Parts: sequence; C-alpha cells; structure tokens
Amino acid sequence: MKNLKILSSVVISVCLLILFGVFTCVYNFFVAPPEPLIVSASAPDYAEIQRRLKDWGYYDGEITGVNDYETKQAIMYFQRVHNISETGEVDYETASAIGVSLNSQNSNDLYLLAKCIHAEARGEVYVGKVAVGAVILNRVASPDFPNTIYGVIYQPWAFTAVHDGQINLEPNAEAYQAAQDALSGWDPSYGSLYYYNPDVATSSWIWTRTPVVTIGKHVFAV
Amino acid sequence: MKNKGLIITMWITLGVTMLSMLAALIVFIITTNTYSTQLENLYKRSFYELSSNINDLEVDMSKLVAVNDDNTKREVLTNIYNSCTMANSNISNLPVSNNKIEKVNSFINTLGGYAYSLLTKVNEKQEFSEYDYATIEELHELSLTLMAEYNQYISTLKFDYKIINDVDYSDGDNSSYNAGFASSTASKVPTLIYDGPFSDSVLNKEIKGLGTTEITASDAEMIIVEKMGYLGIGSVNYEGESVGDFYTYNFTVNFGNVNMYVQVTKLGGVIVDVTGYGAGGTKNLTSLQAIMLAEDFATHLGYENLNQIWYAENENVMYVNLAPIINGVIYYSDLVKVKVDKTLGLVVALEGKNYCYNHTARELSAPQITFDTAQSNLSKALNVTERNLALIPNKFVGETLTYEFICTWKDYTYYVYVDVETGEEVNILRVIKTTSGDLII
Repeated sequence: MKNLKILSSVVISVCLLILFGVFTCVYNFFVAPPEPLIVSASAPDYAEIQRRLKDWGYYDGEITGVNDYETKQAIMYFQRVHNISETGEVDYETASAIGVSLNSQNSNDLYLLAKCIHAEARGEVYVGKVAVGAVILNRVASPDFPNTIYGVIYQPWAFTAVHDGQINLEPNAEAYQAAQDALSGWDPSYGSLYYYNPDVATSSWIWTRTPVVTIGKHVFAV
Repeated sequence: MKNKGLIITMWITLGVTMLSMLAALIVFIITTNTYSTQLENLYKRSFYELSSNINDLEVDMSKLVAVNDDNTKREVLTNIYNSCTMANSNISNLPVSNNKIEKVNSFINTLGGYAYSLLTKVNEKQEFSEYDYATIEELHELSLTLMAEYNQYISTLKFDYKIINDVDYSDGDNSSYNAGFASSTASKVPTLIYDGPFSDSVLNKEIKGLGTTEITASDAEMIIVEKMGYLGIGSVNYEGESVGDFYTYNFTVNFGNVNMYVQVTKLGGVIVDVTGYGAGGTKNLTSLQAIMLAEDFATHLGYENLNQIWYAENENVMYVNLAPIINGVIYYSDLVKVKVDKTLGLVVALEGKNYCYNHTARELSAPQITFDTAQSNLSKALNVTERNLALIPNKFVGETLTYEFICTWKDYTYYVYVDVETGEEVNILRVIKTTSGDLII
C-alpha cells in the first residue's frame, strides 16, 4: 500500500513536470509575443536620447551617451507612460516617440554587420573583429559572392553564427565600432575572402585556400 | 479510500499528460511540415526564377550581336544587367554552399559588370570595338552552355521531389545540396578588359606608391619605434606576415591602456594600417584638437602634405579624412583615413591603402575650360560657396582632374565635380546630416 502511494505520487509529480514543460514550450512557441525585430542599426544616439528624456523629466542622470542601467530605466519609464511595450530598448516605436531617427539604409548595413561580427568574433581581439567585418565587405566586392551585405551574410552555410542563429544576438559597442571601422575602409585582413579557426575547422575544403594573415584564433585567407 | 483517490488522480494526471503530449506532437508535426513546405517553396522559387534569368540572359546576349541602334542596345544591355542582378540574388538563396557555386556567381557578376561598361560606352556614343563583339560572342556561347546545363537540372525538379530532403544542413562545405549544374561554364570565363566593378583591372590593382626597396621584419619594427615612438611605446610584438593586397609585417604595439595592430609594408616600409580600440578615457578633445592630432599622427608616419578634408563624429570617436593638397589640387585618390578617440586623446587607427596604391608624382594636364565656364554650366538652382581643383578616382579605374564646387540648395549641401577637359559633371554628392556626423552619398 505504501509503495503504491509512493508510486502514485512520483507518477503525478513527473506528469505535472512534463505538463509544465509541454505548456511552456507551447506558450513560447505559439502564444508569447516574438522578440521585437529591432532593425535599428547603428547604436542609437544615447546622448541625444538622454538629453531629451532629461528635458522631459524621465531621466535625471548625467549625459554620458552610454546605455547604462539608469538610462534603461528612464527608457522603460518613458515607454510605460507612452503605452509602448516596456523593453528598455530603443526600437522604432520608442525612437519615433522620443524623436530620434534610427532608420537609414546606411545604418541598417552597420547594424547587420555589427550583428555578424558580434556573433562570429565576440571572443576575438578588436582587430580580429574588424577583419571579420572586412571579409564580409570584401565578399560584397568580389564577383564570386552575392553583391550586398545582406546577400553575403545570409548566404546558406556562409557563416556558422548565421546557420545556428547566434546572428540574432544583440551586438555590443565594440562590435558596432568594428563594423563602423570596416565600413570606413579598414581591412586588416588585406583583401581576404575567408577565415577559419584551424583548431576547430572541420571542412577539408577550407584548407585549400591560401592563408593571408592570422589574427587571434582566425586564419584569414583568399 | 484515500489511496483510491490518489490512484484516480494519478490516472487522470497520466491521461491528461499523454493527451497533452500527443496534442503537442501533432501541433509540432503540423508546424514543422508548414515550415519545411515554405522553405521548399522558397528554394524552388529561387531555382525557377534563376532559370528565367539565365534564359533571358542567353536571349539578350544573342540580341546584342544583332542590334545596331543605340536605343535598342541600351534596352538590351539594361535587361542583361538587371537579369544578372536578379540571378545573383536568386543564387544567394539556393541551398548550396558558395564553394560549389562561386564560379557561376563569378560568371554572372562579370557578365553584369561587362554589360554595365558597354552601357556606359553606348551612353558616351562610342562604337563597340572588335574586341567587344568577340567578347560578346564568347560570353553568349558560355551563357548557352550554362542555360543547357541549368535547364537539364531544372527538369529533375518534378512531381513530389523535395529539395530539402537532399540538403545536409550539418555540413555546408562538404555535403550540402549539389545542384549539379554549371560545372563547366564559368571556369571558361575569359579575362575581360573593361572598366567595371569586377573587371580584372579593379581586382588586380597596380600598386604605385610604395617604391621598390624591400625591408625585413626587424627593419619594420625599427620603423614603428622611430615613427610611433613619440607616443610612448610600451612594447612591440611581432605577429607574422600578411600576403594579401600588400605584403606586410604585422605587430601588436602597446601604448599603455591601448593595443594597436600595426602593419608595415615589405615594399617601401610604410605603416599602411593601424587598428586599435580603447575605452575608459577621461579626456575630452574638441573636434579641432582631434583633427590636429590626426594630421600630426599621419605626418609622423611619413604621409606628406596631408590636410583634413572631411570628418565625421560618432559618440567619442572621430573619423578624419586627410588628402594631399599639392599646388592647389586636392588629391582625393590618395585619401588617408584616421580615427581619433577623443576621450583617450589618441589616434587609434589609420588606413593608408589608397595612398599606398596611388601616391606618386602625377603630371596633370592643363584644364581646357575655366572655373567660370564650368560654374556657369551648373544647375541654376545651386548657390556655389567654394570651389577647388580636385583629382578624383573614377568609379572603377583611373582618375580625373575636376573642378570641385561646394554648393547649397535650400538646406542641402552638394559637392559637384566637373571634368576640366570636357566640362561634363562626373559626380554629384549630397551631404546627409546625421546625429553622428555628416555623411556624403
């Protein structure tokens, strides 16, 4: 009798856990609102945002241009008052309400490039990040690849971080800076079209490319 | 009684769990099926659109041999260029890794670039040369082969065949989908002589600004110490060589809290590239101080006669473009870019590739038209605020001596460049004001 009681309790507990798991999955998959698509691009001009929020009484810190905790709280306060989804991020709706612009073709390129750099090379030294950005731009200029930044980055199997979804991570300030440098013409890879980490590269094909330079863990090649 | 209740509860919970799992499984299967159908449709659409693009290319290339009227040439060449652009976009959507398709890409892009250069010829009222007609014929033959191979492949995409079933998503380079077409076409693409984005003259650009003296890695280290020593070098570590556009020796140079990656050319020993990044500075340089710092840094590195011609600010970073001004001519072709961190009070990057490619003593021919004549031909809506002589790089290859007119209209600022020989407007740029600086497009 005692065993039956224990068995029943265990079965009920396990079932409840499974049910919780199933409902969580179903909720996240079908019900929860999707991550807001921030096509914002360049790091928003936080100095300008802080200035405006301060003028309107939402923010009382220093104008630092840095998206710190205090700024995020002020943005959320602003979003709450204006019935905007309280994310703390400066998405299009928030930017529009604050009166700063995020949208331009140029900044979309910068944003996507920064995302790819962040996803592919966030553990690398700064110059390695710029070099990854330069490889993407070298591909755009090469006849052997698609002719746009979007085409190059989203080409199937072109980048591991796009293939496995890490591209959707939000880039940090260093990635933005590296993307800006690459777009401004810096190319420490010297015209490379490929890069790989020799410690983990499994493709036999990549070894057939001619190495140009090694920066950090990446070998850059043509 | 109590145990009976517990057992009933257990069975109910078990039943509900099984039903929920079953429902979730069904929903999961339906959803996965929907997604894979959408993906299959996207792949097939790209394959069929590419088929249409390739067929159009073959037809238009064959028309090009036959057409003689400029307007029709223009129309056919525009169609070829557009078909190439669309084909390139469709190729990038295929579930094929680039190493299996790069030659097709290369063929399509080169063809598009060549069509664009022919279009420029037509617009400039030039006749096609014998070389052009021979190239058109050769490219047409290749487009025929590509079309035949592709159409044979596309005939396999029938009935209930699904591309996604044949795609190995785990390993793109080795075993992803093999479309099985264009294996022989693009490897035969001829070397093309034309001014276009993918022309050989652009891809194999001549280096004019480095001289002929070769240096060793230890010479390069000494050059760094000599030219950057005034900043207070902590350490210099050799990082190896690059064999890309330029052959360079590479070093990591420490300046206290900032590390810079410095590249010195083997030919000529020029510090061609500096890339650094720092944070946490407490200084607050003005724009003027940052510009002076940039000019001073470039001069220390051996770049001569440079003056600031443009700058953009992005938070604490300032990008300063410097160009030589010699005998009143701005040499835009020899542009040097410098990045200053205003909080660190330091130059953190320099890019002198254009200077190394192009900087050499040029003999500029005397203008055939005067400043005033060129200005009188500008749009009457523009108000000229400044004018200069400027040597600007052509879109793809070469350079042109121009009159530069800085003009305003309403709140807009324009840079208009007029060829000093022909009087033609060769480029018009508009300044876009952004919160992070001015952008010229």
